[in-house]
Amino acid sequence: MRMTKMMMSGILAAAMVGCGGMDESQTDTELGQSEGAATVHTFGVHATDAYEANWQDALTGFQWDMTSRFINQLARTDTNKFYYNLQGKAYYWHDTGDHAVNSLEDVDLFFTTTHGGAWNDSAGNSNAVWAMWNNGSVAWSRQMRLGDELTGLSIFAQVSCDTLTTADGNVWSRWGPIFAGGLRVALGSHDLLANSSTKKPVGENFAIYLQNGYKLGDAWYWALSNPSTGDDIAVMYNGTDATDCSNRYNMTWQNFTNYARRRDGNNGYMCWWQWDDA
Amino acid sequence: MNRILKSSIVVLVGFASLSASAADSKQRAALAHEAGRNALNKREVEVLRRGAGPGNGPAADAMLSALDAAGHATGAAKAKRVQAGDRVLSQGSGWALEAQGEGTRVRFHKLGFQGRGVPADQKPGLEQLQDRGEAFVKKELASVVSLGAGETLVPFKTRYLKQGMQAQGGKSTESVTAATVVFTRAIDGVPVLGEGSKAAVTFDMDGKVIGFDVDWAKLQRTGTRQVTVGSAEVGRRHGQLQALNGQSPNATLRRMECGYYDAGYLASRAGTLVQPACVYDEVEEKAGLGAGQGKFRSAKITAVPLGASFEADEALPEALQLKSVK
Repeated sequence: MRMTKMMMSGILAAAMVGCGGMDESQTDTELGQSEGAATVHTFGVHATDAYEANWQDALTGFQWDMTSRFINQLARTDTNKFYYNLQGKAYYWHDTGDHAVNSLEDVDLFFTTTHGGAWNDSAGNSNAVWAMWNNGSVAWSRQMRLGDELTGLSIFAQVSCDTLTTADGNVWSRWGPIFAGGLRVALGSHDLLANSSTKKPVGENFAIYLQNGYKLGDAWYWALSNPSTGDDIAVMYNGTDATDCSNRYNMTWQNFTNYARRRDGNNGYMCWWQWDDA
Repeated sequence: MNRILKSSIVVLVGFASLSASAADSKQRAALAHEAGRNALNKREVEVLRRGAGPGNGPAADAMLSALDAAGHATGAAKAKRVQAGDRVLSQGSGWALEAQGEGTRVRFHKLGFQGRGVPADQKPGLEQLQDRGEAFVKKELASVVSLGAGETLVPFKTRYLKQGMQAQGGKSTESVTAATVVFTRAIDGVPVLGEGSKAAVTFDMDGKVIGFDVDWAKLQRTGTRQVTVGSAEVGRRHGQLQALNGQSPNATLRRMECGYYDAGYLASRAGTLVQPACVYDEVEEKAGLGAGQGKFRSAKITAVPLGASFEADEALPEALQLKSVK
């Protein structure tokens, strides 16, 4: 069952006034307009700060700030199609329902905050996993295929721990099925991201960097990066071969559609960038 | 990642060698050692106050001028400039500079950097990065990073950018393409923890600067001194905060260190206090519910006030929490 939409567009528009610390006297109106008649892209958000019956630890109160500020900022130049919590959402993350209206495949960019992990499923295959709100409910990456329905998701951004880990060599098991649909990039963490109130501006930062033409990987890194906390930030792309994969780091919010999707048999390489303390 | 040890006062004995990571400076490793024994090796410290920044526009102007002169930001005079949120963002050909808040947070980055990689065992260590980093901070970042009386620049840790890839059915390869050295400052010999008072410089594997990230306000002395408590009282306060925040008492402690705590520009403004505190870096794990499900991990950083009597301050929310239950 679809969940209640948490923030209607009208409220969102109202919230944009006075949110995000914008100084009205300054020339922010140019923001995001530098690419000329830039294509308007679409984005959606799922977030939670607590879990049913505390089946997972609550996150400390930065999620709504982070995600609403992301929406407020990016909606200045692009279209926010949905902002939902994570109740009952595994069905809409998996290939079963990802093509429903206002689900992951209905937007270019999907941004989420929840606990993440790298687990084996019942068949012994390694998955990236994300905690849904419902008691015990998890989205499994091997049940996901993104990029081949409706708009087709291109950018999957997750403020979640561990999902982009590569140290165990099981990258293809975890991410092969998702990228097989033609997803262009996954943004997340290869280990831990600190659960801290200083994460509140991350969404707004990310949106600003997207609007200003940063490479997608740079936008993610600089949105999350802080010299003191040592967050383990990671980005992952796919490609036909090593060169193609590396070149895809040049994708931006303005040009990502110029990069052909590498779907199924064209998905031959995974490449990643990770920031680490050691 | 860092070595892991259980969070309890009992296991703080011998904490030093376990908590220090290879990426830590000697000074930081010593902090972890002292935290496990006495919390802080000074029984009294002076409370500080963050001073006002120059404003993000003037901070950006000063930095761009310095970077242009040094050849790090070519064409700075013609850079695109926007005001976005609480920052000025300037972009030139292949680089971006932003000055945030009151101009106390300044970041510079080469965009889309993809440099030569070296094997992990050949990456530069702290000792190789420290001198170059310090020279850069003291020369090119002088407009932001100033040291007051009794303040010294102290190497803190390193960070690395790794690039890896794996063909379907093949083995993964990985190399290090950039290295960051992070500095903090010490005030009367007491290092500053937290997001503030940090200057990070990033180099490619050819030794060229490809970015920096500075969160640095001038700190003023207040004349007020706080007597510091020992590790047992810090542990008691930490337990109290865990209970208040619904944290598991069985969290795994990755690191504990004590010093001044500067929350940085995000949580501060001119006038915000900088008090002594011990910072706990912990990881909680909670298993899924289904058969065979693994565990989700969550990292949590807690700053425990260290003064026997401390001030309630918005930049140290744990102080507000402890005050509320006293």
